[in-house]
Amino acid sequence: MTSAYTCAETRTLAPELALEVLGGAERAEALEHLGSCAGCRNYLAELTEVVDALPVLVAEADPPAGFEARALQKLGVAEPRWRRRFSRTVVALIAAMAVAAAASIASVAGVRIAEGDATRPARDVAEAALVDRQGAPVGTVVVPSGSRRVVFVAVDGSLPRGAYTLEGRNGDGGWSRIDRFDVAKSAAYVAAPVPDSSWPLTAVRVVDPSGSTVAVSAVGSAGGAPAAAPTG
Amino acid sequence: MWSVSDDALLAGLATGDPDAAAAFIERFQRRVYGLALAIMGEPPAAEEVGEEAFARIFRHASTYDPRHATVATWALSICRGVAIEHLALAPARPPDAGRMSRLDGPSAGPEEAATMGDDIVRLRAALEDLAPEERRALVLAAFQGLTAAEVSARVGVPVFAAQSQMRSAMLRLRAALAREGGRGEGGGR
Repeated sequence: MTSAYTCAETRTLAPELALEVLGGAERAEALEHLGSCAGCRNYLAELTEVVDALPVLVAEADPPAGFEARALQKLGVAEPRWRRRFSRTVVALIAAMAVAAAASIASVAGVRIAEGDATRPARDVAEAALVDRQGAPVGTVVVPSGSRRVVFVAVDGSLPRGAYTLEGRNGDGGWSRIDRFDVAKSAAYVAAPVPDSSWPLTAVRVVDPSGSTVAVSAVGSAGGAPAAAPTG
Repeated sequence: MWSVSDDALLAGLATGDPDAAAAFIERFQRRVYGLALAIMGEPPAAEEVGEEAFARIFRHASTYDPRHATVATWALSICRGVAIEHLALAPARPPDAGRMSRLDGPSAGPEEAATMGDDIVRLRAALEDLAPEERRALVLAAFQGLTAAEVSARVGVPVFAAQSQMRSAMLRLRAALAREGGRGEGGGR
């Protein structure tokens, strides 16, 4: 099937598409062309990056008194209980982060916000304990089921302070770096894209600066079974 | 006080945790409100947009993907969308000089620049280097929600000229972003 618009016509409209101001038949025709033209999709993606960056240039301003309370009220959540320990919500955070990645993301049309008013998407995640050399749990690893595009890790404070590397099982059965993170206080949280979505990511591990594996998680195994304790 | 990353804070917001929600709003309210004020031009309308923006951020927190944008960029993009929706429902009005200056203003001073990321400084510099008509077309489209045809009618140029100005402006800013090689300010980790 051939779309009505050429690449040149589509690219003429691409700025308005990226800005999400184009409507009607022109938008439909352009989207039809984009569905079959990777080059124009890439072009649109580049323009969309510009659109996303522009609002950051705008000067900050102090909102009127009571703004925060009214915004919270609009969210439908209770008044905050300040200074409560953050670690209380570790598991909830991890689950939410995984839900975030499992949900639909940017489309080529630049529509970055899912339509509808659902407040919670269905949860579709694999979750497993992160265990240390003694097999004791030191955190949680969550990977959105199916996509394997993002991994979330919470370390509960059992690890010594320092810089660590998060690695995952790659397509060759070996380990490859996903991200690095610091344990500075009582806990650490990592939300990192997986470098290659083709990785099976059957497991992830945490490596300390000396190269020793200090924790591992078999997040990809059925049911998120606990991993064997790391041996080195 | 929360010392967690923007990414983790957003995740906490998605759980409905009131502490996370309050911390998220506290962290981003000046940026969200500032953008809303720049687009809407009036504090009451800006406040309404800001509140709605946070509500939408809350509802759609699960769609955030850290690979594509920082939390700040994502949140402000939502705010821009909300503001433009509100503008579309409001009676047409000419651009306000004060409002536009917030979007299209002069270079940051030394102190302000010191607090900004290099990428933002470069992007702002690129915006200022645009030809005035290019910058005007881009600002009208990006922050007033005007199509090329509407920009054409507003400033009295042919539609193809408005399209060309918008495209040229965006490609030049894109080149500036590409030179930066990063994903934007306010990195979450």
